[in-house]
Amino acid sequence: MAPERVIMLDDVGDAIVSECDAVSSVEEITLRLSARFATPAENIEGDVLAFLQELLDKGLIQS
Amino acid sequence: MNSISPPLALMAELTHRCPLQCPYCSNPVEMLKAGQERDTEFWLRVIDEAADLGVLQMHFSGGEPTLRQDLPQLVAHATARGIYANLITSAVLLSEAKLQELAAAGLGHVQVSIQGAKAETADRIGHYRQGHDKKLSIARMVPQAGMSLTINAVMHRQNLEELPAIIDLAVALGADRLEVAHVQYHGWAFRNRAALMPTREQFEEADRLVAERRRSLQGRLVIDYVVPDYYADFPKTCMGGWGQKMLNIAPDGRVLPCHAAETIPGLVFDKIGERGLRDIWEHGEAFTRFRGTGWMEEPCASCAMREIDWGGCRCQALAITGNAAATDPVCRFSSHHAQMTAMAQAEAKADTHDFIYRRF
Repeated sequence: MAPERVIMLDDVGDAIVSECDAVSSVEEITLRLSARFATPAENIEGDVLAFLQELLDKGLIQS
Repeated sequence: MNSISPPLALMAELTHRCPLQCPYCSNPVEMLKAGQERDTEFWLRVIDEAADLGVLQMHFSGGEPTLRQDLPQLVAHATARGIYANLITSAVLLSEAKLQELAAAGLGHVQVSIQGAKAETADRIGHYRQGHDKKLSIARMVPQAGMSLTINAVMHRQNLEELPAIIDLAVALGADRLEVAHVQYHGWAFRNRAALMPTREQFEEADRLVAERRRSLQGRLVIDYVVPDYYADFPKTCMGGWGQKMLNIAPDGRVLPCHAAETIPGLVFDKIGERGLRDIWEHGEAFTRFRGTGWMEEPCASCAMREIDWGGCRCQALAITGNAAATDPVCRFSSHHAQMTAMAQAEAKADTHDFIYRRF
């Protein structure tokens, strides 16, 4: 939820956002997702970074 | 339609009273007096019914919603029911203490209107002395109180030259978001269009500037842009589709599909209390009248865009063509499109700066 916006996350978006805890770095988030979905970190780090950048540009998260 | 999704957002117009007199006010020309307003119990009930229906966001609006002494109580109740609370305000009646009280009640977001970048321009448009400086002092406190700040600037011929300064001002105030909204010509604005209508050159310059500043401010300021309908070729998806995403409750408790819907003759509006909100949303005559595509006439009925723009704005169709079920004349396929564009160009050249101020 954001000012006059409602973002409906899909399963992938939900997984990424649920790992954001205001403490972890993007690298740590990627590693946890990698373990959770049994996928090599290098396969998902680009997607995680692009998604978080998009949320940042929209003002939905803060770095 | 078999399944009707619940509304995402509810606009609660707590009052039509307002200290400002902006000549493009979205309130109806025939406004409701204080005696016709509903009490705290009523609005608490609205919040409960909205939460039960699945509403995610409530916009506390007006008039000026901070005129209501029960605003913090309403915000607290909405928040307790899991609804994201948003305040749409002129800010001239707020103080630091009131702002803190609202933040403590759980308010997530404050949208502060400004009428220009210069105090002289802004105070003339709002017809309220020293309003601009007051707004700025309050707006600065919003992020400090832990709430998200949006600056809302309604743009027209008499303030478009201040748009670059307005964008700078939004950044300086610590806003997360700026809404640059060209006037929508309904109600008071329709009366004032000779004094408000921008020229095509002004609108093209605004377009260019917004695109440029969106790029340079990416990650710092989100700019939402509402185009001036009269110079567009395709209509807006008004309200996200009639009766699909949003609803509006007037100060007297009538439930409207949009704030201007009462300009449409023959629509019957139900009141909360006489009928449940879910029943009104799903089956109320005003909501079913233009929901979906079944009501459409040509060229909408067979158009590939009919489920994208949902025919555009019903109130605008009525205002220009006299028929609320007609295609929004903003659409290039409307037989009234040329007439509307010509009207806009003529109004833009009108030699007047005088406003008819919003008054009871």
